[in-house]
Amino acid sequence: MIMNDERLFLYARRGFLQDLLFNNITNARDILSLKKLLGLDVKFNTVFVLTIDNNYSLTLNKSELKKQELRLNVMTALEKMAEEVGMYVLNISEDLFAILLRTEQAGILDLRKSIKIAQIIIKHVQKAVGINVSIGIGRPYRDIQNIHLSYKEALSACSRKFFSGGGQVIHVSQIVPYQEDLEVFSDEMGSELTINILSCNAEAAVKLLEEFLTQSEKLENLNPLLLKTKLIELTTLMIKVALETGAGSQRLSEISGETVRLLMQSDTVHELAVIIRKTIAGITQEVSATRKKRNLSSFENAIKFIHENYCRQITLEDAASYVYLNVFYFSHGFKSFTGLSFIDYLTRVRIEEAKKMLLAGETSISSVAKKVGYLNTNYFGRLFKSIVGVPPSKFNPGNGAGE
Amino acid sequence: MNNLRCKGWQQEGLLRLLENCLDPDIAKSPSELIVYGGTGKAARDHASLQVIKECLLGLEDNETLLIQSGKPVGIFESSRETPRVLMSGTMLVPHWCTWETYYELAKKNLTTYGQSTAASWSYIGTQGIMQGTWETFKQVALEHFKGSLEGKLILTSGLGVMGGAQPVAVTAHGGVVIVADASRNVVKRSLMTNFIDIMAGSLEEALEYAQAALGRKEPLSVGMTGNAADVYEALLHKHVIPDVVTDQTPAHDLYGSYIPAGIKPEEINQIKADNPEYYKQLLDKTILRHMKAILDFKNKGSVVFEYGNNIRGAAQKAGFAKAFSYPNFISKYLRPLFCEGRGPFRWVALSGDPEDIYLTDEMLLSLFPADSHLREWIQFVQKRFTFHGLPARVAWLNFAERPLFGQAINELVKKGELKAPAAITRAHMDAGSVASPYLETENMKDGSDAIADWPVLNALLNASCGADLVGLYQGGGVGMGNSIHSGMTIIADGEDLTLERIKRVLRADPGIGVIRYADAGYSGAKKIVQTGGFRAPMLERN
Repeated sequence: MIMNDERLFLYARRGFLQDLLFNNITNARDILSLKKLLGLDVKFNTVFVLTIDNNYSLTLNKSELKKQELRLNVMTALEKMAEEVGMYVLNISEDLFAILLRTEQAGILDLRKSIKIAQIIIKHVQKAVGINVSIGIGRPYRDIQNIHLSYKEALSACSRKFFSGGGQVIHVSQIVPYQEDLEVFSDEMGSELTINILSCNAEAAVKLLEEFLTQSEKLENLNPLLLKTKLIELTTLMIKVALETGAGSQRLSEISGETVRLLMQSDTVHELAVIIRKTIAGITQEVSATRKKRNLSSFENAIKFIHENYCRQITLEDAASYVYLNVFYFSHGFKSFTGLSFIDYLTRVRIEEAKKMLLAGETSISSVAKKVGYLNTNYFGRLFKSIVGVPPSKFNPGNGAGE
Repeated sequence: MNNLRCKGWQQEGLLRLLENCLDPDIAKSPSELIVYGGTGKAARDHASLQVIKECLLGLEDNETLLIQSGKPVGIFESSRETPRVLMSGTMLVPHWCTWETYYELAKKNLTTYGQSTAASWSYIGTQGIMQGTWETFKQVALEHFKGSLEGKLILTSGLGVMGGAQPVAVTAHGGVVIVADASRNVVKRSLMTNFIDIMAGSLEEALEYAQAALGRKEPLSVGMTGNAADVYEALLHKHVIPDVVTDQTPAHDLYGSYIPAGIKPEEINQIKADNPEYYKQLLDKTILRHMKAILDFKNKGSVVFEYGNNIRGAAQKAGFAKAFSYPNFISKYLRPLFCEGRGPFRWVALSGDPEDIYLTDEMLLSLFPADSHLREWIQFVQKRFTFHGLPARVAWLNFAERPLFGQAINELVKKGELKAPAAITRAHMDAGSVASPYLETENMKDGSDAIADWPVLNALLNASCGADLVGLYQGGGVGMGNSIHSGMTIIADGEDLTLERIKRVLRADPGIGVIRYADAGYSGAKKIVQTGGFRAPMLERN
């Protein structure tokens, strides 16, 4: 296929501008000659960086084709503007665009002007594509060789939308250096989170982390990277706790990997919250499913325990502690597993055993009662009658004649 | 590009230069009309600027506009062969020539301060500074190290607008430089804009980098945060004796900009406000230590020179008796160049197209193919410098080269190879155009340091020969009462009539410089006067 000159030119321009932003051209003369050769007449001195807000949520579960469509729509909207106002647009990555343009250099007034231009661009993209975008603005550099510095500044300005949310224009001169102090995080949260995960209380865990994010938002100059690192650390902690309950390590490592990747990609606190909510749900689900599986065998063991010890004075507490479960939890779980409460189940076992003894010719009711764990013969008799329909003395048809 | 708004290219060229000086890409503060150097202005005020522009737009080819310290005061009929603009700037009768009087008069809007090329509308940005520094280190290399700084360690300080050029110039000549600046932000900015190669966290680290590069004979510039006095003393203590020691701390503005040892830049204002006397004591203490360290280096064998920041004067004032026991860079390294009429010649592409300058670069190199020095400079500057504002080039050409190259430029315009005419101009720090006893004319052989007739004659001569803009000014560079200097611009529009003027002006302008140095007894200049076809009656007689 032969490309026409126009298209070749377009690609060449993009390559040149990208090299310029990445500071890859070593000779000043080359910069000027190439700029002229490529017909780039605008004397740009400033870089804006435009990012798609909540790109993660916007593109979640969308095909690559859909993602491409979104990107190209933004690009088209920007290029249309570029034609009108004299600027150059580059797509740098999935959700990031660089705009090279000229702003004057006379201080505060120009700062306001730059911000105004950026706001117009945001509105334009909103109208044309229907999504929110944010813009970071770098300082103007009179020397084209230093335009990459403006780009870097714009990137750093744009990263501040992390806390302020979408639809923002942030100028590099408005930002205060990030706070890099780890002490803004408390350690107590870790232990609280551990408890929530162990008790599969996803709601409480989510609430805890959302509170934490709200707190962090108030520290405007907190480095998002630091916050992300902390969340990764907490995710790792939750995963570790979950692994200790015996939850499936393969699924958990999948959750862990996915969370880290998404956390790093996310560009607003809001997105962090969405991701972390999903992660907690995943981990607690995994813990609870495993526990369910594990509980089955616990109750089987408990039943075995009952069958082996019905003749003794066993209690709910004894059974629960035999299978290492909390009494309350055991009591609920046992009922859902067997359909009967512990005491009903135990009574049934004892009555069944008593019936067997009576059928085998045992005649002393008090002896039978003792052998199946009842010290009070009258009580045993009442229970027996209520379940079997007849008192124990009348149960063995063969024995009946003796009375 | 070729749109003439004025009645001729002479007027148009000057108008474009004036606009260029105030281009936001060039000027320090366009809204205040400040072009560079503290408060160097291109016009008195906005009203004056407006009128100057209108005058240039309507000026006939046989009229001359007069500008008195940035204010247009008259238009007279003259001739096509004479200047379109004549200026006088910041001129005060010598007895009244102090900052105090100046401020009083400026307050009444009777005068303004134009530094040098701001007043004469020929400022082109920082390339001029780079060229001066490049040239100085080239001369240092030639004089002491067989033409290269390879394997040599240079110690300096100050990374401001002027000083920032030093590390670039040193590495361009193959050397290794450690440069200290008291402000970490300034060091960082230099790193970001490639004025230094590495930012070291400590002197030890800086030395490690430097010594490794020296071992490999590779050029390297290492910047570090540190007070010059502290760093210089620490090096002495370590018995590290650099091959060259200088500094470009702002000692010329001791109280305003120099930073005393032990004080962080952000603490200065408070200390100054709370206890100015104490602050002054700290300054004096530091400058004395700084100076002593420089002289200790000199005594231990380093090549030492002052880089025009008047640190010797400041130290002397603080009580250092022998501060002037080493030379400044101009009298030591650039004077031999001035003797042959070689100085900061420059030209500007009025088209605004960089290719015009690259074309003239090639023309220049083809005119003087044997000049490897010139080739090195052009290659260096093409690689390192882009243009802001109108594209321009600086090259230190001598009395013989300037008229030849001027003709060549006019020829390129005539043939239409340049997209528009070019302006030929220069800085004021040239051979015959400045009297400045603290800098350019310090320690003249015949003691004529303060003789200011030369720049006056230079201006009159350039006007007679037919330059398009000629001006005479006072106080540029070294401040009120300390210098008199002249500016000159001629527009090469490709016309034959212009060619004659170019030849005359570009011969006379550096020519009077050669005569000035010959008159002062410099043999290099005397030889040129004898062989170069100059008419210097008294010298002929001797």
